[in-house]
Amino acid sequence: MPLASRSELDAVRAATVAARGLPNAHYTSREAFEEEKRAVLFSHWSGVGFGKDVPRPGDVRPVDFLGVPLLLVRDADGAIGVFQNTCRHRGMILVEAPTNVKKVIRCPYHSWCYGLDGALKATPHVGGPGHNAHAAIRPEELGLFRVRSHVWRDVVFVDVSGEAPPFEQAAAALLERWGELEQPIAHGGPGSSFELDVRTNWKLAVENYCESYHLPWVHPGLNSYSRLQDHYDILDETASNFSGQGTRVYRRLRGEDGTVFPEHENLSTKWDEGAEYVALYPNVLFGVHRDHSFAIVLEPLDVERTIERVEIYYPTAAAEDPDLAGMREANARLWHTVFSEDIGVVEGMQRGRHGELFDGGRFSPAMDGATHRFHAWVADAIVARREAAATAADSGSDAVRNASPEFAERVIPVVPA
Amino acid sequence: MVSEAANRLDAALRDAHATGDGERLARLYTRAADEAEAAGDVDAACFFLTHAWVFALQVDAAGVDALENRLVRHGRLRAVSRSNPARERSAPCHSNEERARP
Repeated sequence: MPLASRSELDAVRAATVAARGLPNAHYTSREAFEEEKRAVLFSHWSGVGFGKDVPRPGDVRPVDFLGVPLLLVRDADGAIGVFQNTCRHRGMILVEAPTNVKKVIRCPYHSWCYGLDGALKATPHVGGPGHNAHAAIRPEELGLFRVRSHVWRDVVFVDVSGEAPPFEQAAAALLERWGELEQPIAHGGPGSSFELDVRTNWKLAVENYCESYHLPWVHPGLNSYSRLQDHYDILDETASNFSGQGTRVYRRLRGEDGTVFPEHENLSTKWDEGAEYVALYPNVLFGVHRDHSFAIVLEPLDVERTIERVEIYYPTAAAEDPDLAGMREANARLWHTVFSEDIGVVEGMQRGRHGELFDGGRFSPAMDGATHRFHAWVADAIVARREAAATAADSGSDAVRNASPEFAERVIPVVPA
Repeated sequence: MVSEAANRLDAALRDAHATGDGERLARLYTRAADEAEAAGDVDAACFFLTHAWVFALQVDAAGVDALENRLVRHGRLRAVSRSNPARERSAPCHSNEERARP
């Protein structure tokens, strides 16, 4: 199936009232999946995991991000770094399963050892048996490739391309919108994690999440206390890389004895009964409330398969209180029910895109603005990459290297011993 | 002819490898290095010291520095600077942050 034409992409980028959705190929085609991998997921801050995946210094967790082997590492100072999970010697995968390596990552092939900061610490027998140095092998040049990363609300974001604006700049509008909620949170424990394996292209999960239009039909349990008219679109005029929906009637979970979760401090009245649900493009979904929050990292396994990793967080006191364990479990069950209810419609949309007559569909200007914004953002990213590649090809200069896949040669800093 | 002690050490090493016991491997390879050194076989000693060193690094054993020092004395390892905190912290490995700089 051919890639979307420029005219098809421009139709997506039109005003919501006139726009078409992304063509079928963007949900069913291997070629389009590969194009989006680079134009969208590698070129922007994408979620690949969570801080709770590597809770202690020395914890490491391998992640396959669209075929790129990455390694999440919690260093001795407690900071999280992301490296390419590849030995600099012969390209061996360093870590196959989550573990704690204490202070060094040892390659299972020839035992080259790296510190938690990625520095190469040992090259055993590299100069011959019992000789652990060689003039041609300079450890200061052979540390692990560090991939730009940032942690926000415990989600580990990476910029594979190395060219995205700093995260704080890219997500500035959302950071400001939720500034009050920048308070300590803690994961709710093992029962506050779950995954959904969904037979859909990852974008459909984003698109569905953005809108409240489907709530009365797909989540009828909400109708009694969170009506469609109580929801509003989140469409920031200053930023095009997130959208979603909010509710004005968030109903807190209550235990049988009326117990509620402790809430964040010093919140404005907006959050008394308000909650917001935002997709931070490309692949992370957030939900925030006065007393808990969640993050969903969408892992695109294949063109038509996505893993939704859901993690639920609380103000620290609530996360650690053993007396609230039952309520945390009940909350997780509730969200599992809600997100499971979406599976049928996102899988249905996926199957529908194999109908060749489907033309991308239409957007209700009143109800689908947040969804269309995502479509337009994806289309913009693809157009931008194609134009950059065309410019590079025309110039035939070093720009070709910069516009090409992200793992081109790098400037290698020499670190004093 | 290989001595009985050597056979026992070899068996212990195989067992430790099979169980992945890094601390035990570090101790056993150190013992093998000690014996080789006592016998005047520096090459064998440094081979065993290298293995002991790697496994000691892996399990963060207390004897890492001593093993490194022995290898350095035999000229089998560059001197390790332990006074530079930058070596341990935030070493600027090749980072794709280079591309993000204006």
